[in-house]
Amino acid sequence: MATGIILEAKDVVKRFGGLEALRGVSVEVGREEILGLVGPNGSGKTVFFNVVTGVYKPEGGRIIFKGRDITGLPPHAIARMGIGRTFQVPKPFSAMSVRDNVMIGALFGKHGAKNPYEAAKVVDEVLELTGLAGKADLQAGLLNVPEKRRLEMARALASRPELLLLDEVLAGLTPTEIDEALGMIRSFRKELGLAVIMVEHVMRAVMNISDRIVVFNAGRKIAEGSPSEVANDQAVIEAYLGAPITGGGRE
Amino acid sequence: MLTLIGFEALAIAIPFMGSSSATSLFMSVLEYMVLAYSINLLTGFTGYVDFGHVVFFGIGAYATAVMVQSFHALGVNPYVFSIAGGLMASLFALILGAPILKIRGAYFAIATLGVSEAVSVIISNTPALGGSYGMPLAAYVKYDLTSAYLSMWILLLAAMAVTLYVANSKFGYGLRAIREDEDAAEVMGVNTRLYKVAAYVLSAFFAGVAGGIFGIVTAYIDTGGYFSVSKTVEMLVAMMLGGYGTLLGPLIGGFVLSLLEYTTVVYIANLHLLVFGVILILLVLFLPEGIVGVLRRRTRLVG
Ligand SMILES: Nc1ncnc2c1ncn2[C@@H]1O[C@H](COP(=O)(O)OP(=O)(O)O)[C@@H](O)[C@H]1O
Ligand SMILES: [Mg+2]
Repeated sequence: MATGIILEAKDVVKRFGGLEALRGVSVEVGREEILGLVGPNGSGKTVFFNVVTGVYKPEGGRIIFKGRDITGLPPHAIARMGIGRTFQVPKPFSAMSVRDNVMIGALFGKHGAKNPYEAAKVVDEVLELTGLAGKADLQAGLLNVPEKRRLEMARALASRPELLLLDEVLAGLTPTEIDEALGMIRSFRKELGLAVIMVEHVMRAVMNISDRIVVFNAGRKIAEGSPSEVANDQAVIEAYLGAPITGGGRE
Repeated sequence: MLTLIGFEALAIAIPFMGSSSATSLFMSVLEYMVLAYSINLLTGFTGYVDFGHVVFFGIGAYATAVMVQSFHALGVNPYVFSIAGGLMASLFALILGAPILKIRGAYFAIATLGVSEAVSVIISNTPALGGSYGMPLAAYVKYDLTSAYLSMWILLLAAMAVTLYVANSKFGYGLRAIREDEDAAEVMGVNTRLYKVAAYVLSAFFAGVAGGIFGIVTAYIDTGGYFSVSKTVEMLVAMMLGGYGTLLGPLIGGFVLSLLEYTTVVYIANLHLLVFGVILILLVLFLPEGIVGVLRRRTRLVG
């Protein structure tokens, strides 16, 4: 790639009946960049992830990944090109073991191992990296919430994505767990060279980890820049109803 | 386990020992097992409950019957034509698969039931296929229980081999992911549409061949017997009883259920369907993983 850009979403529009969830948003992500995506509840962050991963077809705009137009491709095809994601509400394969969950990631997605034996190495590596090795044989449905979120990340990582979309993976974690998770995400980038878009409500964390931040409000991008630029942006402060957004906590 | 192997050794030997009522019992044991493997490939692995699975058994029987009628003069063993029955069932699954597998949950069960009933009605109104009277085959095939029996054994072993392969392959992992959460599977890179149709086509084949074999062995087929809903229920119960999505489940479930049916048919006549219905409900409620699931928890040895 000549440019350092891995994902380019241009003027994306997504409607649900009369509701316009995305009203022409454009977002760019650089290779190995960590981009924070913030905004009030219902501002369209999860819908944006769903459009990028092909779950929803946009009514307007284009999604360009690694220079290729992927708009309208089915989700499995997009996953195979190298976009991995987690779900805001974890969707583990509950009756399967933690290991088999991660195995699905390694077999499908970009890594695309041909069989479970070939996938085993990546699976072990990812279980180690995400601290789930000790729980590998446990049924995924029996994990607690923070572990389920880590499993979401592990599955996505095992597919060897070049771009990882994280949807509120820090929600409900204690401050210590948040610091652990942030360290983990930084190490993904460093060791695996991937770009990350991180949707997050925990402001302290996003400000801390992001290279750049994009702010959505009511389906529009209202601000974009470095963490300190965004924190002092008048439109952003108004969108959050004047709440001091550098202060941490939810919203 | 050992009793099962012992039983199988005995079962192989039965037709050569000349007891015909025992042979027909063992034919029905094999039928249950094969049909349980067949429906397991779709329902067991993907979770799509096929309430019309008997349609493949019926189509296989009719396609085989037509082949036997047309080509009996060639003099080949008629059981060979049951392969054509399987292929026809698979072709039907291939055409039907893409639209019907878009439907999920109970609606899929109802849709498949509807398709199976519709095909049955169409056949019983098609004079070329004998209409409501059915198709007698006695003029074309001679009574040959040994060939029927060996065909069923080959089919059972093939079904087990395919299941073993699927269970440990990338394909099988994809199917189980679909069973757990289809949307998550698709987003993780599983081509869910392709995988579901492939499982459907594969499972249809085994039911189709079984239908063909039974059509020849009974030398008479009609829609009442070969498209009956109760047969689908039996397949589902056999699969659930043994443990869905496992390698040995259908073998154990098919075995237990056919013996159960044998005894209930003998002693309480037509009540066996009621008994099966009750078993199905109890299984769903109390033993969703079937016999294999229980054994696995106890011993970690089976399947
Ligand atoms: N499948 C859907 N059908 C209808 N409306 C939806 C759907 N998904 C999201 N929405 C709506 O789109 C808007 C944006 O939602 P979302 O992207 O989930 O917000 P958030 O920024 O909190 O992640 C909300 O008003 C939500 O109700
Ligand atoms: Mg959201």
